Amino acid sequence: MTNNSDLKIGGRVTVRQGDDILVDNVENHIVNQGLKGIISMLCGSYDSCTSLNQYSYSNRYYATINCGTDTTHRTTYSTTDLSAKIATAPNAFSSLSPNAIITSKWVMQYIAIWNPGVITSQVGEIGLYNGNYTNITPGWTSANTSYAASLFSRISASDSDFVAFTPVSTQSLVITWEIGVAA
Amino acid sequence: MADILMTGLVSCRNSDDPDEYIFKDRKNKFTTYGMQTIPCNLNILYTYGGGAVTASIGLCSYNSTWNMYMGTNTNTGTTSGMTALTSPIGTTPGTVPSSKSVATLDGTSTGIWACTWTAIWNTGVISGNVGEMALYLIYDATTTSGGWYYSNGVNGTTQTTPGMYSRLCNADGDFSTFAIDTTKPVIVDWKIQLTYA
Repeated sequence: MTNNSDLKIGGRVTVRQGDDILVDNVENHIVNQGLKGIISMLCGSYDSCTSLNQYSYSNRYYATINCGTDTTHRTTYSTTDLSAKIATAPNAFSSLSPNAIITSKWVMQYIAIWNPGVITSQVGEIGLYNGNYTNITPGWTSANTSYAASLFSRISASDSDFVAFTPVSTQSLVITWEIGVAA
Repeated sequence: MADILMTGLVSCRNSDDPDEYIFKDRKNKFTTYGMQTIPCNLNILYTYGGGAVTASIGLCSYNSTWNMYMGTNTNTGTTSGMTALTSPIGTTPGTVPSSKSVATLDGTSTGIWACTWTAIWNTGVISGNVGEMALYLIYDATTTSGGWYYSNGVNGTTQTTPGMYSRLCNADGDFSTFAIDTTKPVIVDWKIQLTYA
């Protein structure tokens, strides 16, 4: 018998440059937009495309990771974006398949890589973005609707998640972000 | 704030009196379908109207095909891999409710979000000694790296199969068995709630 009464939905973040681990497997802070997206999945009926040769983008399509410079604003559940986002997108972004690490833990892993010298300013906050669904009307449907990227979760120096750092310009900056559901 | 707690709370009545509960807010146990659907849904990329004009991805409450069922078993606890009630009342997967509805709780100002599925079996529709019950939602088990999409050559919808998302049972001590009073309706509210830990 398992004890799957209370599931924990959480995220862990690791930042590396070469052999240096700048942020070591810290817990993220999921914000309201992420929770609303999950409730939307639970109550929704379907997301559709009803026009020939048209796409309706959502969730993973818009997933990305951004860094920011802010070191003074803590994360609250009503936080909607990084406080001082560095607009530069990762040079590479990928995700691994949702996977059962063990029978009582399912994990989705995102990996962002900036080439050496691409981010040169101090990093004090980092955010995971997703094409979160936004409708919590029971049985909602949508047709030909693409959802925008919005903040799903954040880590920050002001939350004492890590010490602000300035990437060295000679090595790639690699961020691994796991979102997991675990008993 | 860090982790989010996802809790399933089940309340059951067998009465016309809205305040008369057999039990209230008992914690369910989630199965693998309940655990994997969220990360698999986060992995959705897009739908694409390709050769035909409609391509849809079903979500957890697709087209009101979600369901609740009751069963009589009293000695089999819930496990992650369980996919059906052990001894359903009626033909497998069980006797469907007479009516169903869904409600949501907006947590914008509180940080507490919830979705509640309510099932009603009209008077006399279901009978027996209840030892287990289950919530069936449309589940997602697509584990494609880099995301998955749906583009259909003909009109169609993928992700439409309900599976046992969570279960409540006497064998785990979740509630005491009870005999259904067939002169009154049975009403179950099954709430999945997200809160900051």
